Order: sequence, then structure tokens, then C-alpha cells
Amino acid sequence: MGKRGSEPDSFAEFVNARYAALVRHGTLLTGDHGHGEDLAQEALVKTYRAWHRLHPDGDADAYTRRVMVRAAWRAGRRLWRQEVPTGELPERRAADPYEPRDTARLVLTALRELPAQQRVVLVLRYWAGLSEQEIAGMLNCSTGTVKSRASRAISALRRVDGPLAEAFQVSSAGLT
Amino acid sequence: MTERIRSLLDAAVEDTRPRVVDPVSAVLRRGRASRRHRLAGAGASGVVAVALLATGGLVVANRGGGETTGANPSASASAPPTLPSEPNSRQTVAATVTDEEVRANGLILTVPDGWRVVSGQRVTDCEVAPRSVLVNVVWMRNERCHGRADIIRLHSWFPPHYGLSEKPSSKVFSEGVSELVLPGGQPAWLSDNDILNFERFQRSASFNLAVPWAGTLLEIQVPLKDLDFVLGSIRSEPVVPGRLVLPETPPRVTVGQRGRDRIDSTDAAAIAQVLERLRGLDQVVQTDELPCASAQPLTPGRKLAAKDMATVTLHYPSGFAQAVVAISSTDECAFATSSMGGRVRLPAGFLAEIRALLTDGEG
Repeated sequence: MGKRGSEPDSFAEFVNARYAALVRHGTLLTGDHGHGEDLAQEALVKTYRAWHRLHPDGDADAYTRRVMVRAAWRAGRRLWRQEVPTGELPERRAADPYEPRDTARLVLTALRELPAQQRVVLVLRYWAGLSEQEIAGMLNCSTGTVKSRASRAISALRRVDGPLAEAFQVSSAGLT
Repeated sequence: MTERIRSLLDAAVEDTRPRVVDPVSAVLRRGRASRRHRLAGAGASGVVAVALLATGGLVVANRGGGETTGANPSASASAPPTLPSEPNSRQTVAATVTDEEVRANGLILTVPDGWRVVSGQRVTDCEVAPRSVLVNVVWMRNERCHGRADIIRLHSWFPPHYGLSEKPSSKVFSEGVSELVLPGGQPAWLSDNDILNFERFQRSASFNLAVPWAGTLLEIQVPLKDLDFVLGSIRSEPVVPGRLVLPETPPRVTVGQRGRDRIDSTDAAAIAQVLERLRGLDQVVQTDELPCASAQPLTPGRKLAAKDMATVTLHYPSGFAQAVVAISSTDECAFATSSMGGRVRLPAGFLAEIRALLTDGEG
């Protein structure tokens, strides 16, 4: 505990340097900017508590991201158990005039429509570039689970009536 | 396919910027709240004080910003930005500048068509081109050219504070505050002096617009015909309304009210009661709610939310002001706004009660 006095300063440096990137990661994991920032802050609270182990020799960034990923994955599991089928769509909030437009908005909308676990796997596989084995290890599940979640997520994103259908049509046209 | 998905995901967060200006304070505050909830849940009320003492060291990383309470700790996306509150030597505001807009701590200024942005330079009045947005410039006044150009100047804002040496002569003039609600839901403040000037503007308007929650002051000097257009280019990032955000333990509180003697109190018990009353206010003013609909229009297109508000200033131990709570206390329009964020309705007689608490404490 001899370093205790310097911990807040080094933690502050870490947060200031990595916060924006963690918020982006959280936004993708949740499909929502506000929830993403919430997720990043929750994870950083845990990082602070573990700071004496993570600084200066540990990888605080990787630790924080792992906490975020696991929280997003667990949230999916909780929501699934509590899900109540309904015949009507919930009321949509009014359009936010400052919300990002076009591609960003469409992708986030599509991400929000995915089940949380599919979204987490999709982000880790295609954005973070992790292998199926690495994802399985991080989420404490089988590689089969990772494969199936990723496959379903891709299918959902390419759905012809989904928000990203046009983007994938452009992609397909570009490939031919 | 992999690359396509990756590029789409990249695009989704390309423009994502944190909404919290001071993430360190936000995280530490959240940690403290979480710890308090856990302890409270265990029914260990006596332990809470120990835990708070134990986390006192975290304030070291809080940039002198002090601890605050009042925001909903579970809703970071909606909480007002937390700002470094002690005046810094450079008096600059952390701003992101592009040709199209200037963003500073949740404040967004869309650069009007035909205007240009000048950032971080040393300029004189004679060098400033007409229609310039000046961000953190060092501005050298030159009487020969003063007032020629149309400008919007952004720099840092800190709550005004009163020196303790003034206390014996507390019967001093106190200026009121008028409040305007920006698109996006956050307030902006004008001094009474500026409001009076609005009635006298002939061909051009020149005034200061304080955006307290963003720690930013806008000096605006524009032709009168462009005033509404320029005001319309200023907005806040959308924020979910909330209760007053307040410092944890200010050692000194002053109350300024037009036409009344200023109250200056260092009585800890009285201050604690005042803070308890302010924290207990839970009738949140909603974003699209103009609390004083009968107020006079400021311009043909803008209506004030309140005029001539009293101010409760909460000070740091160093003597600098940390926060101001503006209080509108007319019968038809009683609400309070904190410079640190949050806006709530007030019960009848609230300002009189606050004055009495602090006056009794001093007596």
C-alpha cells in the first residue's frame, strides 16, 4: 500500500486517456450512446477498486474492456429471462434532433435490435478482431455458442427488411 | 463481409464523444454512490461515515472540483457535465472546434453561415475580421477599432465570488440573474445589466451569455437584425432533467438578492440545513417546460424563463465560488437552477426560508 497516495493520480491519467475509446466500445456493446457511457463508467469503478493490482504492471485497458463485455453479456442473459412477449411495439421516443444521422444511426439501430449476446459476440468478433476461441474464453462459453451467436447476428443484420439492408446491398454490389 | 461489418461498426461510433466532461470525477462519484448503496443496503448506517472518510482520498484526483451530490448516479448519460471548478490560470474552455461548430462541455455553437472560427490566437480588435467566432483567444483591446466587428467569443466562466473582506459592508448592491432555456434543455444566464441593455439596443446588440453548466461565457456582439439567428445557433446537448447538483460541504454561503442586503454565512449548521433543503427539492422542471410562461420576451423569438433571480453562492474553502443556485421566487414562478446542473420547482416561501436559516445562523 505504499503507493496508495499516487493511485488516484495514475488512475485519473488512465481514465482521461482511455475514456473516449471505452465509451465507443460501450456504445457498440449496448447499441446506445448513453448506455454505453454508463457501462464504461461502471467498469471503471471496478477498475479503480482493482487499481493496486493493475498499476503499473497490469493491463488496465484490457481489464476494463473485459468487465464491460461480461456485464453486457450478463445483461443479455438477465433480459432474456425477464422478456415478456408482446404483440405491440413499445412506444418510440421522439426523434432526437442531435442524434447522429445516416450510417451511424442505422448501425446503432440495427445493433439495438439484436439480442444482447449476439451484439456482444458480433462486436468482439468483427470490431475487436478476437478469434472465436478468445471470445469463448472471455465469456466463459463454448466456441459453438460464439459461432451460433455470430452467425445469427450476421443474418439479422443482412435481413432484407432490416435497417442495414441497403448497406449490405451496396456491399454485395461492390464485391461483384 | 468481415471488412464491411467492421467498417459499419467503425462508422457507428466515429462521431461518438463522451457526454461527461470530467470522467474521473464521474467515475469516482459513481463509486462512492455504489459503496453508499451497498452499505445502506446492509443497514450499516454507522459504517457509511467511515466509508465516506475512507474514500476521501479520492478527491485528490478530482481536480479540485470538489464532491457533488444531487445528480442521479445511475444515469450518467443524463447527468450534467462535471466541470473543473477552480479557476485556472489560462481561463480557457475545453472546446472542440471545426469549421461548422464549436463544442464545449455539452454546449454546441453552430457556426453561422458566413462566419469563421479563430481559435487560440492572440488578436487585437483591429485584426479580428467581421463575423468571427473567437475561441480561447487572447484578445488585446484597441480603442481605435473596438466594437467594429460582429463577434461571438467563447471563454471560460466561473461563478462570481465575494471576498470575505467585504463582509463588514454587506449592504452592497446585488445583481440578479435572468435565465434563458437553450434548445436541448439547458439554461443560460444573463445579468440584470445585460437584460436592461436589451431594451436599449439600437442597431447592434452586445451582451454576455453565461452557460454555467458548461463553464463557458459567450460574449456576443451582433447586428440587432441577426440577434435571433445567432441565439438560435446556440444549443445544449440534450440532457434529461434532474435535481440540483450541489457541492458536498461548502464552508461558506452567500445570498445575493436585488434590493436586499447580502447574507454571508460560515455557520456550518446553517449551511448544512440549507443544503439539506436544496437537496430535498424533487419537483424537477422538465426540458420543454418554460417555468414562467408569462415572462417578457427577450427578443421577438426568445422568451426568458425567469428574470431577476436571487443567487445562493456556495464557496470552496479557498474562497473561490464553486457553484451558484439561481432562485426565481415570484409567486407564479418559483424554481431554482444550479450552475452545476439541475432545475427544480420550489415551494412557497423557499427563498425567505433560506435567508432566515442563514441569518439565524449568523446571529
